[in-house]
Amino acid sequence: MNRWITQLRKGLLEYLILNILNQKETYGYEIIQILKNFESMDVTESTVYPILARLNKDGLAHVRKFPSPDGPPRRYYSLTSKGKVRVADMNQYWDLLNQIIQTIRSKT
Amino acid sequence: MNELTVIESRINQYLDAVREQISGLSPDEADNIIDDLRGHIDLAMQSRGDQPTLENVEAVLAEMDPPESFAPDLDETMGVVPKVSRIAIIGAVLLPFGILTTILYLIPGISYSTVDGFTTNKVPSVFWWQWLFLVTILPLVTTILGLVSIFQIRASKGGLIGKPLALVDALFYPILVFDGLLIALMFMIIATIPDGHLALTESLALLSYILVIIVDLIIAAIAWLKMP
Repeated sequence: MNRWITQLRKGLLEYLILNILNQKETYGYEIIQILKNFESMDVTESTVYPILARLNKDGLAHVRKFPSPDGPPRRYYSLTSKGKVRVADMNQYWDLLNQIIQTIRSKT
Repeated sequence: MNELTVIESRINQYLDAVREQISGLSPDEADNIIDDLRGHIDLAMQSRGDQPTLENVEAVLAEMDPPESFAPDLDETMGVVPKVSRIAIIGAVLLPFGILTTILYLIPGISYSTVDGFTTNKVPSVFWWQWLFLVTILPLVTTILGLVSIFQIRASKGGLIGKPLALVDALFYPILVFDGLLIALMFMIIATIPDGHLALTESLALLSYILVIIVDLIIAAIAWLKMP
């Protein structure tokens, strides 16, 4: 059961991060704070930052650096046009999956 | 050492430990993670509203994931299963054929024979030339495939594995040629020793073999360390 949840969470996390970035340009720390509101997601730095780095590498997210008076520059992530297409596809597929799950659950 | 330096040093210690865990990722990805973590630590410190002290840094780092949890789980987290370089595999398959054709070519009585003091080709001359072509081309192709697979593995940024195989392909024949030249050089030196110095001759011969082994190991170690 635990392994199943872990696997599902890992898959979902990228989807959720893409959706957060789809709403606004933001930085990693804030993404973690948003996701930490949902305890069941069990989000930590070691899960979020590698995903952000990968999204950037894959050209789905873009990083902009803003100078900060208190330390190193803030790194803001936003979706690229490729990322916006991806999140739209993912949302569409998620709706389809949700529909399938609801249909099967209502029949059993 | 003032406290700010100590704090920086502690933060860098944590970030270095994380970097070690993510060394398998591409440099850009690793830099992104480290830069984000650095920003995270600063923001976490600010959100506590505390002055930057070593105790506060320790408290923030204690709340964060330990460096070991950053080790990428390629099968699960990244969704990428690294594959062994096909070019390196082809090179490894060709390598023993190169050795075999060379040995068969050099063994007296297989490719040529000596009759009444005259060395003659045992096999038809056309085939003999084809054989010589194989002896020359197979090591060359193996070495080229090894070099290509090394560049391919480096460029794949973790998508391809097979570094030991690629290194063997690329280095085996060049090292063999180098060994041959080194031993030939040593024996040329030995040949200059006047007769009657058997112990010295034997010692030098032994030394040349040991030297060859040491040089081979050094070349292999340097090549291994130069590979990311």
